[in-house]
Amino acid sequence: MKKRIKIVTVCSMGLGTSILAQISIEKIVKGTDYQVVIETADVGSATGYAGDIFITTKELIKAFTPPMGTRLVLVSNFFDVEEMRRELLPVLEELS
Amino acid sequence: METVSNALEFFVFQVLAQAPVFMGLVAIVGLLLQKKTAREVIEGFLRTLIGMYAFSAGAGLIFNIIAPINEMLKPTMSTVGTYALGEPAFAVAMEHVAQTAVLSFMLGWIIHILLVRIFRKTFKAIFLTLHHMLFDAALVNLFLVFVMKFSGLGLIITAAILCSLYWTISPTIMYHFSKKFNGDNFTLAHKEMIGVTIASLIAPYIGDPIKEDADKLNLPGWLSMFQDVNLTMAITMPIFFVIMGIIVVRTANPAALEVLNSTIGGQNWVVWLILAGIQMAAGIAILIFGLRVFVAALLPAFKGISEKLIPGAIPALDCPVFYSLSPMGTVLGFIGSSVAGILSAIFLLLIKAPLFVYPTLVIAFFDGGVIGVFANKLGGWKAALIGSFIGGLLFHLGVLWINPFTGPLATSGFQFSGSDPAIFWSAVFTAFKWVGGLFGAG
Repeated sequence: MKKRIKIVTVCSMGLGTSILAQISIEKIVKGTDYQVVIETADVGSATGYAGDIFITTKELIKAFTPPMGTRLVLVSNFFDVEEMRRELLPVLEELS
Repeated sequence: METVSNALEFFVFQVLAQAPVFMGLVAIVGLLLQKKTAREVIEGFLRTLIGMYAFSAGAGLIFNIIAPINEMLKPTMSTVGTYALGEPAFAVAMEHVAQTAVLSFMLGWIIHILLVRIFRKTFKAIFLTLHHMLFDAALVNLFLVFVMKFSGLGLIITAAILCSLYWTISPTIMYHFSKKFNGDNFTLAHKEMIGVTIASLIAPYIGDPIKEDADKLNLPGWLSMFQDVNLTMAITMPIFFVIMGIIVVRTANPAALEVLNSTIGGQNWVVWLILAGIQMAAGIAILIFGLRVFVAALLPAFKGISEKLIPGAIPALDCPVFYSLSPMGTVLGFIGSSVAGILSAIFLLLIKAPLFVYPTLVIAFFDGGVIGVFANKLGGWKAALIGSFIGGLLFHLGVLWINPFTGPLATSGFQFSGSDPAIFWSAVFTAFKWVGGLFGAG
């Protein structure tokens, strides 16, 4: 059994697009043996979240700093499952 | 039989009547539909309860601030201030129409799915911005309950039909414009159909989207700070409150000064107002935190169902997905709508309007930003500025039109935001009231 990884998806309010990112991630890990827990956050409080991987967009990263010791995955579009897969899977593999 | 009806009565009045519990049970439905494990369902239920109680606490915090400030404004300028922002407006609505609003939201979404499924040739997009659907349902419920005196099943069904028509038609119109630059990827589900439509229609006459593309301009990077709702609030609210404070102190109405003195209790009024503005930001942060778990529990279920029932439908999503298509269009849209908001506020003060609308820079960022993206993609940077300026005028000044339709929300200091509540729903409610008048209702 692989290690449980906590992913935090970050958007402006933590209400809309970060939840779409959550859905994309669930699609990606479905059928693999990665164990992930996903939480959504807004840029204002994201720094205070605990997690192994922080996922956000290239624009939003200008507005917050991920906490020390976490991995950052940047995508240009939360809704693009293929891009998310390409960026996220190597990091997941490394941490698991 | 009696024990059964007693148990049912207990369940309905003691358990379901508590809005947080009710929302928690709705979240359970969403999680079960996603085939989550028992542990995840219980976790989701409890987290929704925590979130909804946090939501009320955040609402309490901001009302403790906005109430005394409005008490001071009333005798000073015979006006009350209102701030157009969905989250606190929804919190007010939830104190009055929680159950019926959530039920009409769910029924409305089912009707929406059926409409798209049946009329696939006409309606192509599925509305997936769940928190705005909750806000729409709450707004329509307030109108039907407090203006039209609807109740019970008739209320839920009428609200569900009105909302489902909007959720079906609005993203299809947005798709008509967005397909020109975004194809079939996704389209917009946001309360800005009117603003985006106007900007998209005039944009081609203003400029050339290729030659005058905003994304070829170099704009300062610090503007991205406004991505953070809490920071935007914390920067702008103290400024607006201090300006209001100066007006109150200068006018020196005795009743207003008494409210001011008893509220600040010996503290310096400027310091108090600055910190009050920052506490508003804190309150909004708590509101958003509270809503998040509920939305996260339902949205994946909604998306899963629509994909299963209507494969190939175009997802209509919240405005931030558009920002990456044109980051500079977003920034220009923010600027255009902010200027419109500030000019609207000055205009309302000068004509001594009975309702003062604070410039909502949060909405200028979200709604103005998405108008900027559409307008830039269809007419370049000048179109982004002009389109978002027009949108900004609509969603600030239009608050005066929607406000009387919203019952207790009208005097709460908050109102739903965006040009669709301000213009579209105001028009629908006006027509509804007129038709109702013909039949002797309302």
